[in-house]
Amino acid sequence: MKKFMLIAASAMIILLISLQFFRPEIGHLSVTGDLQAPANVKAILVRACYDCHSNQTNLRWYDQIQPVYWQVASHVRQGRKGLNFSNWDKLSPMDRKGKLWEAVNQIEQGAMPIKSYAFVHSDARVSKQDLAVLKNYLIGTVHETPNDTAKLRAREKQVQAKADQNQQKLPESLNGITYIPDYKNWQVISTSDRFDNGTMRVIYGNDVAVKAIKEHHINPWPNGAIFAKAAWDKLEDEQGNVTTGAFKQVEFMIKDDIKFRQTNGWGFARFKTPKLKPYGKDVMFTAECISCHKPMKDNDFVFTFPIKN
Amino acid sequence: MKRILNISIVLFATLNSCKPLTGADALINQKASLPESFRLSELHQKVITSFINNRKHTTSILYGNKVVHSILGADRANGNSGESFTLVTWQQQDDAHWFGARIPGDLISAETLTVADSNSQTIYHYQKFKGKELTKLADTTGNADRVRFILSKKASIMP
Ligand code: HEC
Ligand code: HEC
Repeated sequence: MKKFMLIAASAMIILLISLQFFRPEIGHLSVTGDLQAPANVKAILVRACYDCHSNQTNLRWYDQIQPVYWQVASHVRQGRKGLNFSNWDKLSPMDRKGKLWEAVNQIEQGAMPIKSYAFVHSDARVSKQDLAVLKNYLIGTVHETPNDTAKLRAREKQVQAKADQNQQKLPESLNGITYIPDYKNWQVISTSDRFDNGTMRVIYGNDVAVKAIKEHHINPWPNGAIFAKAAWDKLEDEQGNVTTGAFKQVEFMIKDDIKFRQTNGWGFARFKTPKLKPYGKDVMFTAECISCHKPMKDNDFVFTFPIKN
Repeated sequence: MKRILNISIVLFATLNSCKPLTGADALINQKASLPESFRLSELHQKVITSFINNRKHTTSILYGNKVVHSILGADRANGNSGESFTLVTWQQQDDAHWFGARIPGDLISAETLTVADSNSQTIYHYQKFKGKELTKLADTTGNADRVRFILSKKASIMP
Protein backbone atom coordinates (compact mmCIF):
# COMPACT_ATOMS: atom_id res chain seq x y z
CA MET A 1 0.00 0.00 0.00
CA LYS A 2 2.77 2.40 1.00
CA LYS A 3 4.56 1.54 -2.19
CA PHE A 4 1.47 2.30 -4.23
CA MET A 5 1.13 5.73 -2.60
CA LEU A 6 4.75 6.43 -3.35
CA ILE A 7 4.32 5.54 -7.01
CA ALA A 8 1.18 7.61 -7.28
CA ALA A 9 2.87 10.60 -5.69
CA SER A 10 5.92 10.33 -7.95
CA ALA A 11 3.69 10.01 -11.00
CA MET A 12 1.88 13.13 -9.92
CA ILE A 13 5.12 15.05 -9.50
CA ILE A 14 6.47 13.87 -12.85
CA LEU A 15 3.21 14.89 -14.48
CA LEU A 16 3.36 18.35 -12.91
CA ILE A 17 6.98 18.81 -13.96
CA SER A 18 6.33 17.70 -17.52
CA LEU A 19 3.32 20.01 -17.61
CA GLN A 20 5.71 22.91 -17.10
CA PHE A 21 7.12 22.27 -20.58
CA PHE A 22 3.79 22.70 -22.30
CA ARG A 23 3.61 26.43 -22.57
CA PRO A 24 1.03 28.06 -24.79
CA GLU A 25 2.58 31.17 -26.29
CA ILE A 26 1.12 34.48 -25.13
CA GLY A 27 3.57 36.50 -27.18
CA HIS A 28 5.02 39.90 -26.51
CA LEU A 29 3.43 41.97 -29.21
CA SER A 30 4.23 45.57 -29.88
CA VAL A 31 2.51 48.62 -28.48
CA THR A 32 1.25 50.52 -31.53
CA GLY A 33 -0.49 53.28 -29.61
CA ASP A 34 -1.05 53.17 -25.88
CA LEU A 35 -4.18 54.38 -24.10
CA GLN A 36 -4.24 58.16 -23.61
CA ALA A 37 -5.87 59.23 -20.35
CA PRO A 38 -5.07 61.40 -17.32
CA ALA A 39 -2.26 59.88 -15.20
CA ASN A 40 -4.43 58.93 -12.22
CA VAL A 41 -6.98 57.22 -14.47
CA LYS A 42 -4.39 55.38 -16.49
CA ALA A 43 -2.51 54.20 -13.38
CA ILE A 44 -5.60 52.32 -12.18
CA LEU A 45 -6.17 50.62 -15.53
CA VAL A 46 -2.50 49.70 -15.91
CA ARG A 47 -2.41 48.17 -12.45
CA ALA A 48 -5.71 46.30 -12.68
CA CYS A 49 -6.18 45.47 -16.34
CA TYR A 50 -2.96 45.61 -18.34
CA ASP A 51 -1.88 42.04 -17.62
CA CYS A 52 -4.72 40.79 -19.80
CA HIS A 53 -5.74 43.83 -21.83
CA SER A 54 -2.45 45.12 -23.20
CA ASN A 55 0.69 43.83 -24.85
CA GLN A 56 2.60 44.78 -21.70
CA THR A 57 1.67 41.64 -19.79
CA ASN A 58 3.74 41.29 -16.63
CA LEU A 59 3.40 37.77 -15.32
CA ARG A 60 4.63 37.03 -11.80
CA TRP A 61 6.45 33.74 -11.05
CA TYR A 62 3.33 32.20 -9.58
CA ASP A 63 1.44 32.89 -12.80
CA GLN A 64 3.95 30.85 -14.71
CA ILE A 65 3.46 27.55 -12.91
CA GLN A 66 1.32 24.95 -14.61
CA PRO A 67 -1.60 24.33 -14.49
CA VAL A 68 -2.20 27.95 -13.40
CA TYR A 69 -0.29 29.24 -16.42
CA TRP A 70 -2.76 27.58 -18.75
CA GLN A 71 -5.62 29.62 -17.42
CA VAL A 72 -3.55 32.80 -17.29
CA ALA A 73 -2.41 32.42 -20.90
CA SER A 74 -5.94 31.81 -22.08
CA HIS A 75 -7.20 34.86 -20.17
CA VAL A 76 -4.50 37.01 -21.71
CA ARG A 77 -5.26 35.81 -25.23
CA GLN A 78 -9.01 36.27 -24.87
CA GLY A 79 -8.69 39.50 -22.93
CA ARG A 80 -6.54 41.13 -25.60
CA LYS A 81 -8.96 40.08 -28.31
CA GLY A 82 -11.87 42.06 -26.84
CA LEU A 83 -9.95 45.02 -25.44
CA ASN A 84 -6.31 45.92 -26.00
CA PHE A 85 -5.07 49.21 -24.55
CA SER A 86 -1.79 48.80 -26.47
CA ASN A 87 -3.57 49.12 -29.82
CA TRP A 88 -5.68 52.08 -28.79
CA ASP A 89 -4.76 53.88 -32.03
CA LYS A 90 -6.57 51.18 -34.02
CA LEU A 91 -9.94 52.28 -32.61
CA SER A 92 -12.03 55.21 -33.81
CA PRO A 93 -12.50 57.99 -31.23
CA MET A 94 -16.07 56.81 -30.76
CA ASP A 95 -15.05 53.20 -30.20
CA ARG A 96 -12.40 54.29 -27.66
CA LYS A 97 -15.05 56.12 -25.72
CA GLY A 98 -17.40 53.16 -25.92
CA LYS A 99 -14.75 50.71 -24.72
CA LEU A 100 -13.89 52.90 -21.71
CA TRP A 101 -17.53 53.09 -20.60
CA GLU A 102 -17.82 49.35 -21.11
CA ALA A 103 -14.61 48.82 -19.09
CA VAL A 104 -15.82 50.90 -16.15
CA ASN A 105 -19.19 49.16 -16.23
CA GLN A 106 -17.47 45.76 -16.15
CA ILE A 107 -15.63 46.89 -13.01
CA GLU A 108 -18.75 48.31 -11.38
CA GLN A 109 -20.70 45.09 -11.99
CA GLY A 110 -17.86 43.07 -10.47
CA ALA A 111 -17.06 41.26 -13.72
CA MET A 112 -13.53 42.67 -14.11
CA PRO A 113 -10.76 42.18 -13.22
CA ILE A 114 -11.49 38.44 -13.28
CA LYS A 115 -12.15 37.37 -9.68
CA SER A 116 -9.66 34.51 -9.51
CA TYR A 117 -6.94 36.83 -10.79
CA ALA A 118 -7.78 39.67 -8.39
CA PHE A 119 -7.82 37.20 -5.52
CA VAL A 120 -4.22 36.23 -6.14
CA HIS A 121 -3.03 39.65 -7.38
CA SER A 122 -4.37 41.75 -4.54
CA ASP A 123 -2.69 44.85 -6.02
CA ALA A 124 -4.99 44.58 -9.06
CA ARG A 125 -8.20 45.08 -7.12
CA VAL A 126 -10.11 48.26 -7.94
CA SER A 127 -11.19 50.03 -4.75
CA LYS A 128 -14.32 52.16 -4.36
CA GLN A 129 -12.14 55.29 -4.59
CA ASP A 130 -10.46 54.00 -7.77
CA LEU A 131 -13.86 53.38 -9.30
CA ALA A 132 -14.99 56.89 -8.36
CA VAL A 133 -11.89 58.33 -10.10
CA LEU A 134 -12.73 56.40 -13.27
CA LYS A 135 -16.40 57.41 -13.20
CA ASN A 136 -15.64 61.08 -12.60
CA TYR A 137 -13.28 61.07 -15.53
CA LEU A 138 -15.96 59.61 -17.82
CA ILE A 139 -18.66 62.01 -16.57
CA GLY A 140 -16.27 64.84 -17.44
CA THR A 141 -16.10 63.66 -21.05
CA VAL A 142 -19.87 64.00 -21.57
CA HIS A 143 -20.79 67.14 -23.50
CA GLU A 144 -24.39 67.70 -24.48
CA THR A 145 -24.67 70.49 -27.03
CA PRO A 146 -28.05 72.13 -27.52
CA ASN A 147 -29.20 72.49 -31.13
CA ASP A 148 -26.41 70.32 -32.51
CA THR A 149 -26.58 71.20 -36.20
CA ALA A 150 -24.97 67.98 -37.42
CA LYS A 151 -27.57 65.94 -35.54
CA LEU A 152 -30.41 68.13 -36.74
CA ARG A 153 -29.25 67.70 -40.30
CA ALA A 154 -28.92 63.93 -39.90
CA ARG A 155 -32.55 63.73 -38.80
CA GLU A 156 -33.72 65.97 -41.63
CA LYS A 157 -31.91 63.76 -44.14
CA GLN A 158 -33.69 60.67 -42.86
CA VAL A 159 -37.06 62.42 -43.01
CA GLN A 160 -36.43 63.34 -46.65
CA ALA A 161 -35.22 59.87 -47.54
CA LYS A 162 -38.25 58.23 -45.96
CA ALA A 163 -40.55 59.48 -48.69
CA ASP A 164 -38.84 57.52 -51.47
CA GLN A 165 -38.02 54.43 -49.47
CA ASN A 166 -39.54 51.09 -50.31
CA GLN A 167 -38.26 48.03 -48.50
CA GLN A 168 -38.63 45.03 -50.78
CA LYS A 169 -37.33 42.08 -48.78
CA LEU A 170 -36.87 41.86 -45.01
CA PRO A 171 -33.14 42.02 -44.18
CA GLU A 172 -31.44 39.13 -42.40
CA SER A 173 -28.57 39.31 -39.89
CA LEU A 174 -25.35 37.35 -40.48
CA ASN A 175 -26.42 34.73 -37.93
CA GLY A 176 -29.67 34.17 -39.84
CA ILE A 177 -32.16 36.29 -37.89
CA THR A 178 -34.78 38.02 -40.01
CA TYR A 179 -35.76 41.55 -39.11
CA ILE A 180 -39.09 41.63 -37.23
CA PRO A 181 -41.09 44.71 -38.32
CA ASP A 182 -43.89 43.82 -35.90
CA TYR A 183 -41.89 45.04 -32.88
CA LYS A 184 -43.61 48.40 -33.23
CA ASN A 185 -46.85 46.72 -32.11
CA TRP A 186 -45.27 45.25 -28.97
CA GLN A 187 -45.47 46.67 -25.46
CA VAL A 188 -42.84 49.08 -24.23
CA ILE A 189 -41.02 47.59 -21.25
CA SER A 190 -38.57 50.43 -20.61
CA THR A 191 -36.70 53.41 -22.02
CA SER A 192 -33.08 54.41 -21.64
CA ASP A 193 -31.40 57.79 -21.74
CA ARG A 194 -27.80 56.99 -22.68
CA PHE A 195 -25.73 60.01 -21.76
CA ASP A 196 -22.57 57.95 -22.33
CA ASN A 197 -23.11 58.00 -26.10
CA GLY A 198 -25.78 60.64 -26.72
CA THR A 199 -28.61 58.30 -27.70
CA MET A 200 -32.07 57.48 -26.37
CA ARG A 201 -33.78 54.11 -26.60
CA VAL A 202 -37.15 52.44 -26.34
CA ILE A 203 -37.19 48.78 -25.33
CA TYR A 204 -40.10 46.60 -26.42
CA GLY A 205 -41.14 43.09 -25.39
CA ASN A 206 -43.30 40.66 -27.40
CA ASP A 207 -46.37 38.93 -25.93
CA VAL A 208 -44.34 36.08 -24.45
CA ALA A 209 -42.03 38.55 -22.71
CA VAL A 210 -44.89 40.70 -21.42
CA LYS A 211 -46.74 37.65 -20.07
CA ALA A 212 -43.54 36.53 -18.33
CA ILE A 213 -43.23 39.94 -16.69
CA LYS A 214 -46.83 39.82 -15.46
CA GLU A 215 -46.19 36.39 -13.97
CA HIS A 216 -42.76 37.27 -12.59
CA HIS A 217 -41.13 34.47 -14.59
CA ILE A 218 -38.24 36.46 -15.99
CA ASN A 219 -35.16 34.73 -14.70
CA PRO A 220 -34.57 32.83 -16.84
CA TRP A 221 -36.82 34.31 -19.51
CA PRO A 222 -39.06 31.72 -21.24
CA ASN A 223 -38.30 30.48 -24.75
CA GLY A 224 -40.05 32.64 -27.31
CA ALA A 225 -39.50 35.89 -25.40
CA ILE A 226 -38.15 38.62 -27.70
CA PHE A 227 -36.84 42.09 -26.96
CA ALA A 228 -36.42 44.88 -29.46
CA LYS A 229 -34.47 48.01 -28.67
CA ALA A 230 -34.70 51.03 -30.97
CA ALA A 231 -32.17 53.86 -30.66
CA TRP A 232 -32.07 57.47 -31.81
CA ASP A 233 -29.72 60.42 -31.48
CA LYS A 234 -30.65 62.74 -28.64
CA LEU A 235 -31.62 66.21 -29.90
CA GLU A 236 -31.58 68.84 -27.17
CA ASP A 237 -32.86 72.43 -27.31
CA GLU A 238 -31.88 75.36 -25.03
CA GLN A 239 -34.69 74.57 -22.61
CA GLY A 240 -33.37 71.08 -21.99
CA ASN A 241 -36.08 69.38 -24.04
CA VAL A 242 -34.67 66.26 -25.63
CA THR A 243 -36.38 64.66 -28.60
CA THR A 244 -35.47 61.82 -30.93
CA GLY A 245 -33.11 62.64 -33.80
CA ALA A 246 -31.82 60.34 -36.51
CA PHE A 247 -32.76 56.66 -36.15
CA LYS A 248 -29.59 54.73 -35.30
CA GLN A 249 -30.58 51.08 -35.16
CA VAL A 250 -32.89 48.42 -33.85
CA GLU A 251 -31.57 45.38 -31.97
CA PHE A 252 -33.22 42.09 -31.11
CA MET A 253 -32.66 39.39 -28.52
CA ILE A 254 -34.64 36.20 -29.15
CA LYS A 255 -34.75 33.59 -26.38
CA ASP A 256 -34.37 29.96 -27.43
CA ASP A 257 -32.09 27.95 -25.22
CA ILE A 258 -31.74 25.17 -27.81
CA LYS A 259 -31.46 27.01 -31.10
CA PHE A 260 -29.20 29.70 -29.65
CA ARG A 261 -27.39 27.52 -27.10
CA GLN A 262 -24.02 28.72 -28.32
CA THR A 263 -24.83 32.36 -27.64
CA ASN A 264 -26.10 31.94 -24.08
CA GLY A 265 -29.64 31.05 -25.18
CA TRP A 266 -30.23 34.32 -27.04
CA GLY A 267 -30.28 35.11 -30.75
CA PHE A 268 -28.71 38.55 -31.18
CA ALA A 269 -29.32 40.81 -34.18
CA ARG A 270 -28.74 44.47 -34.98
CA PHE A 271 -30.02 46.43 -37.99
CA LYS A 272 -28.53 49.86 -38.61
CA THR A 273 -30.07 53.07 -39.97
CA PRO A 274 -33.51 53.30 -41.60
CA LYS A 275 -32.06 51.08 -44.36
CA LEU A 276 -31.81 48.33 -41.71
CA LYS A 277 -28.32 47.25 -42.66
CA PRO A 278 -27.36 44.02 -40.86
CA TYR A 279 -24.50 44.75 -38.44
CA GLY A 280 -21.11 43.03 -38.38
CA LYS A 281 -18.43 41.58 -40.63
CA ASP A 282 -19.25 37.93 -39.94
CA VAL A 283 -21.28 35.70 -37.59
CA MET A 284 -18.85 36.47 -34.79
CA PHE A 285 -20.39 39.91 -34.30
CA THR A 286 -22.40 38.25 -31.54
CA ALA A 287 -19.21 37.94 -29.46
CA GLU A 288 -19.39 41.70 -29.02
CA CYS A 289 -22.97 41.58 -27.80
CA ILE A 290 -22.18 38.75 -25.42
CA SER A 291 -19.07 40.29 -23.85
CA CYS A 292 -20.93 43.45 -22.94
CA HIS A 293 -24.04 41.60 -21.73
CA LYS A 294 -21.99 39.04 -19.77
CA PRO A 295 -21.93 40.95 -16.44
CA MET A 296 -25.74 40.40 -16.48
CA LYS A 297 -25.34 36.61 -16.44
CA ASP A 298 -27.23 36.33 -13.14
CA ASN A 299 -30.20 38.05 -14.87
CA ASP A 300 -30.19 35.80 -17.95
CA PHE A 301 -27.93 38.35 -19.75
CA VAL A 302 -30.64 41.03 -19.73
CA PHE A 303 -29.96 44.60 -18.58
CA THR A 304 -33.48 46.01 -18.64
CA PHE A 305 -35.55 46.28 -15.46
CA PRO A 306 -38.96 45.71 -17.13
CA ILE A 307 -41.99 47.90 -16.39
CA LYS A 308 -45.48 46.43 -16.06
CA ASN A 309 -48.07 48.25 -18.12
CA MET B 1 3.23 30.25 1.11
CA LYS B 2 0.19 32.50 1.36
CA ARG B 3 0.26 32.88 -2.44
CA ILE B 4 0.25 29.16 -2.96
CA LEU B 5 -2.61 28.80 -0.53
CA ASN B 6 -4.52 31.51 -2.38
CA ILE B 7 -3.85 29.86 -5.70
CA SER B 8 -5.16 26.53 -4.45
CA ILE B 9 -8.26 28.18 -3.05
CA VAL B 10 -8.88 29.85 -6.40
CA LEU B 11 -8.45 26.60 -8.28
CA PHE B 12 -10.96 25.03 -5.96
CA ALA B 13 -13.33 27.96 -6.16
CA THR B 14 -13.36 28.11 -9.97
CA LEU B 15 -14.43 24.49 -10.03
CA ASN B 16 -17.27 25.18 -7.64
CA SER B 17 -18.38 28.69 -8.48
CA CYS B 18 -22.12 28.91 -8.52
CA LYS B 19 -24.27 31.89 -7.61
CA PRO B 20 -28.05 31.99 -7.33
CA LEU B 21 -29.94 33.91 -10.00
CA THR B 22 -31.41 37.30 -9.12
CA GLY B 23 -35.09 37.06 -8.17
CA ALA B 24 -37.80 38.51 -10.44
CA ASP B 25 -39.00 40.90 -7.75
CA ALA B 26 -35.63 42.60 -7.68
CA LEU B 27 -35.58 42.91 -11.47
CA ILE B 28 -39.05 44.24 -12.24
CA ASN B 29 -39.12 48.03 -12.17
CA GLN B 30 -41.89 48.29 -9.57
CA LYS B 31 -41.89 52.02 -9.02
CA ALA B 32 -42.13 52.77 -12.73
CA SER B 33 -44.88 50.19 -13.33
CA LEU B 34 -48.41 51.30 -14.13
CA PRO B 35 -51.29 50.16 -11.91
CA GLU B 36 -53.08 47.22 -13.51
CA SER B 37 -56.38 49.11 -13.35
CA PHE B 38 -55.09 51.60 -15.96
CA ARG B 39 -55.01 48.87 -18.64
CA LEU B 40 -52.65 50.67 -20.97
CA SER B 41 -51.68 47.43 -22.68
CA GLU B 42 -55.29 46.77 -23.65
CA LEU B 43 -55.52 50.02 -25.63
CA HIS B 44 -53.03 48.60 -28.17
CA GLN B 45 -51.65 52.03 -28.90
CA LYS B 46 -48.22 52.31 -30.53
CA VAL B 47 -45.29 54.54 -29.69
CA ILE B 48 -45.32 57.84 -31.57
CA THR B 49 -42.26 59.25 -29.90
CA SER B 50 -40.31 59.44 -26.66
CA PHE B 51 -38.78 62.52 -25.08
CA ILE B 52 -36.81 63.70 -22.07
CA ASN B 53 -36.71 66.88 -20.04
CA ASN B 54 -33.12 67.42 -18.93
CA ARG B 55 -34.05 70.13 -16.43
CA LYS B 56 -36.77 68.20 -14.65
CA HIS B 57 -35.09 64.84 -15.27
CA THR B 58 -38.26 63.29 -16.60
CA THR B 59 -38.74 60.82 -19.42
CA SER B 60 -41.95 60.32 -21.42
CA ILE B 61 -43.53 58.11 -24.04
CA LEU B 62 -46.32 59.31 -26.29
CA TYR B 63 -48.58 56.58 -27.67
CA GLY B 64 -51.25 56.88 -30.35
CA ASN B 65 -54.01 54.69 -31.77
CA LYS B 66 -54.32 53.45 -35.37
CA VAL B 67 -55.89 56.67 -36.61
CA VAL B 68 -52.92 58.70 -35.39
CA HIS B 69 -50.49 56.36 -37.08
CA SER B 70 -52.36 56.34 -40.37
CA ILE B 71 -51.90 60.09 -40.74
CA LEU B 72 -48.48 60.56 -39.14
CA GLY B 73 -46.37 63.04 -41.01
CA ALA B 74 -49.42 64.85 -42.31
CA ASP B 75 -50.40 68.12 -40.68
CA ARG B 76 -52.06 67.21 -37.44
CA ALA B 77 -51.60 70.46 -35.53
CA ASN B 78 -55.26 70.61 -34.55
CA GLY B 79 -55.79 66.89 -34.32
CA ASN B 80 -58.16 64.78 -36.34
CA SER B 81 -61.34 63.04 -35.43
CA GLY B 82 -60.80 59.55 -34.08
CA GLU B 83 -57.29 60.18 -32.80
CA SER B 84 -56.50 58.93 -29.35
CA PHE B 85 -53.28 59.52 -27.38
CA THR B 86 -51.70 58.44 -24.11
CA LEU B 87 -48.69 60.25 -22.64
CA VAL B 88 -46.85 58.58 -19.77
CA THR B 89 -44.20 60.46 -17.78
CA TRP B 90 -41.67 59.20 -15.24
CA GLN B 91 -39.01 60.73 -13.04
CA GLN B 92 -35.63 59.44 -14.24
CA GLN B 93 -33.36 57.29 -12.11
CA ASP B 94 -29.84 56.00 -12.63
CA ASP B 95 -29.69 52.55 -14.18
CA ALA B 96 -28.19 50.22 -11.58
CA HIS B 97 -27.08 47.94 -14.41
CA TRP B 98 -25.32 50.52 -16.58
CA PHE B 99 -23.32 53.54 -15.50
CA GLY B 100 -24.09 55.92 -18.37
CA ALA B 101 -27.87 55.34 -18.58
CA ARG B 102 -30.97 56.77 -16.95
CA ILE B 103 -34.18 54.74 -16.90
CA PRO B 104 -37.74 55.40 -15.72
CA GLY B 105 -38.10 55.80 -11.95
CA ASP B 106 -41.20 56.95 -10.08
CA LEU B 107 -44.31 57.14 -12.21
CA ILE B 108 -45.42 60.81 -12.34
CA SER B 109 -48.47 60.90 -14.59
CA ALA B 110 -50.46 59.57 -17.49
CA GLU B 111 -52.50 61.84 -19.74
CA THR B 112 -55.12 60.78 -22.24
CA LEU B 113 -56.46 62.77 -25.14
CA THR B 114 -59.13 61.88 -27.67
CA VAL B 115 -60.17 64.03 -30.59
CA ALA B 116 -63.71 63.96 -31.95
CA ASP B 117 -65.79 65.92 -34.43
CA SER B 118 -69.20 67.18 -33.51
CA ASN B 119 -71.16 69.40 -35.90
CA SER B 120 -67.93 70.28 -37.73
CA GLN B 121 -66.37 71.32 -34.43
CA THR B 122 -63.31 69.60 -33.04
CA ILE B 123 -63.78 68.44 -29.47
CA TYR B 124 -60.87 67.43 -27.24
CA HIS B 125 -61.32 65.09 -24.31
CA TYR B 126 -58.29 65.46 -22.09
CA GLN B 127 -57.75 63.77 -18.75
CA LYS B 128 -54.76 63.68 -16.42
CA PHE B 129 -53.96 60.89 -13.97
CA LYS B 130 -51.35 61.46 -11.29
CA GLY B 131 -48.98 59.55 -9.03
CA LYS B 132 -48.11 55.92 -8.51
CA GLU B 133 -51.81 54.95 -8.49
CA LEU B 134 -52.64 57.22 -11.47
CA THR B 135 -55.43 59.00 -9.65
CA LYS B 136 -57.83 60.89 -11.89
CA LEU B 137 -57.42 64.68 -11.53
CA ALA B 138 -60.50 66.88 -11.41
CA ASP B 139 -58.60 70.15 -11.88
CA THR B 140 -58.73 71.28 -15.51
CA THR B 141 -56.45 74.33 -15.45
CA GLY B 142 -53.75 74.13 -18.05
CA ASN B 143 -55.55 71.44 -20.03
CA ALA B 144 -55.60 73.44 -23.26
CA ASP B 145 -51.82 73.84 -23.06
CA ARG B 146 -51.38 70.11 -22.57
CA VAL B 147 -53.61 69.38 -25.57
CA ARG B 148 -51.47 71.67 -27.72
CA PHE B 149 -48.30 70.13 -26.29
CA ILE B 150 -49.39 66.59 -27.14
CA LEU B 151 -50.54 67.51 -30.65
CA SER B 152 -47.29 69.36 -31.34
CA LYS B 153 -45.10 66.29 -30.90
CA LYS B 154 -43.34 65.05 -34.00
CA ALA B 155 -43.19 61.32 -34.60
CA SER B 156 -39.87 59.51 -34.15
CA ILE B 157 -38.31 58.11 -37.29
CA MET B 158 -39.01 54.38 -37.34
CA PRO B 159 -38.32 52.22 -40.36
C1 HEC C 1 -6.75 37.90 -15.71
C2 HEC C 1 -6.99 38.54 -16.93
C3 HEC C 1 -7.88 39.78 -16.96
C4 HEC C 1 -7.77 40.93 -16.23
C5 HEC C 1 -6.73 41.26 -15.18
C6 HEC C 1 -8.80 41.81 -16.70
N1 HEC C 1 -9.52 41.20 -17.68
FE1 HEC C 1 -11.05 42.00 -18.74
N2 HEC C 1 -11.28 40.25 -19.79
C7 HEC C 1 -10.52 39.13 -19.61
C8 HEC C 1 -11.03 38.08 -20.47
C9 HEC C 1 -10.49 36.67 -20.56
C10 HEC C 1 -12.11 38.62 -21.17
C11 HEC C 1 -13.01 37.94 -22.22
C12 HEC C 1 -13.84 36.85 -21.69
C13 HEC C 1 -14.73 37.22 -20.55
O1 HEC C 1 -15.51 38.16 -20.67
O2 HEC C 1 -14.64 36.56 -19.50
C14 HEC C 1 -12.23 40.00 -20.73
C15 HEC C 1 -13.18 40.87 -21.20
C16 HEC C 1 -13.24 42.21 -20.85
C17 HEC C 1 -14.09 43.17 -21.48
C18 HEC C 1 -15.02 42.91 -22.64
C19 HEC C 1 -14.23 43.13 -23.89
C20 HEC C 1 -15.05 42.91 -25.15
O3 HEC C 1 -14.90 41.85 -25.75
O4 HEC C 1 -15.79 43.81 -25.50
C21 HEC C 1 -13.87 44.36 -20.86
C22 HEC C 1 -14.54 45.69 -21.18
C23 HEC C 1 -12.89 44.14 -19.83
N3 HEC C 1 -12.51 42.82 -19.86
C24 HEC C 1 -12.42 45.11 -19.00
C25 HEC C 1 -11.44 44.90 -18.04
C26 HEC C 1 -10.98 45.92 -17.13
C27 HEC C 1 -11.49 47.35 -17.11
C28 HEC C 1 -10.04 45.36 -16.35
C29 HEC C 1 -9.27 46.02 -15.22
C30 HEC C 1 -10.05 46.61 -14.18
C31 HEC C 1 -9.89 43.97 -16.76
N4 HEC C 1 -10.78 43.74 -17.78
C32 HEC C 1 -9.00 43.08 -16.22
C33 HEC C 1 -9.42 39.00 -18.78
C34 HEC C 1 -9.00 39.95 -17.87
C1 HEC D 1 -21.07 48.17 -24.89
C2 HEC D 1 -22.08 47.37 -24.31
C3 HEC D 1 -23.12 46.67 -25.15
C4 HEC D 1 -22.93 45.98 -26.32
C5 HEC D 1 -21.65 45.77 -27.10
C6 HEC D 1 -24.23 45.46 -26.68
N1 HEC D 1 -25.17 45.82 -25.76
FE1 HEC D 1 -27.15 45.35 -25.80
N2 HEC D 1 -27.45 46.47 -24.13
C7 HEC D 1 -26.48 47.18 -23.46
C8 HEC D 1 -27.12 47.95 -22.40
C9 HEC D 1 -26.42 48.85 -21.39
C10 HEC D 1 -28.49 47.67 -22.46
C11 HEC D 1 -29.60 48.27 -21.58
C12 HEC D 1 -30.43 49.27 -22.36
C13 HEC D 1 -29.70 50.52 -22.70
O1 HEC D 1 -29.38 51.31 -21.81
O2 HEC D 1 -29.38 50.72 -23.89
C14 HEC D 1 -28.66 46.73 -23.55
C15 HEC D 1 -29.89 46.18 -23.91
C16 HEC D 1 -30.09 45.39 -25.02
C17 HEC D 1 -31.38 44.87 -25.42
C18 HEC D 1 -32.66 44.97 -24.62
C19 HEC D 1 -32.70 43.81 -23.60
C20 HEC D 1 -31.74 44.00 -22.43
O3 HEC D 1 -30.79 43.21 -22.29
O4 HEC D 1 -31.92 44.97 -21.68
C21 HEC D 1 -31.18 44.23 -26.61
C22 HEC D 1 -32.24 43.54 -27.43
C23 HEC D 1 -29.77 44.32 -26.93
N3 HEC D 1 -29.14 45.02 -25.94
C24 HEC D 1 -29.19 43.76 -28.06
C25 HEC D 1 -27.83 43.82 -28.34
C26 HEC D 1 -27.22 43.24 -29.52
C27 HEC D 1 -27.96 42.51 -30.61
C28 HEC D 1 -25.90 43.52 -29.45
C29 HEC D 1 -24.79 43.15 -30.43
C30 HEC D 1 -24.98 43.44 -31.82
C31 HEC D 1 -25.67 44.26 -28.21
N4 HEC D 1 -26.86 44.40 -27.56
C32 HEC D 1 -24.44 44.72 -27.82
C33 HEC D 1 -25.14 47.18 -23.71
C34 HEC D 1 -24.54 46.58 -24.81
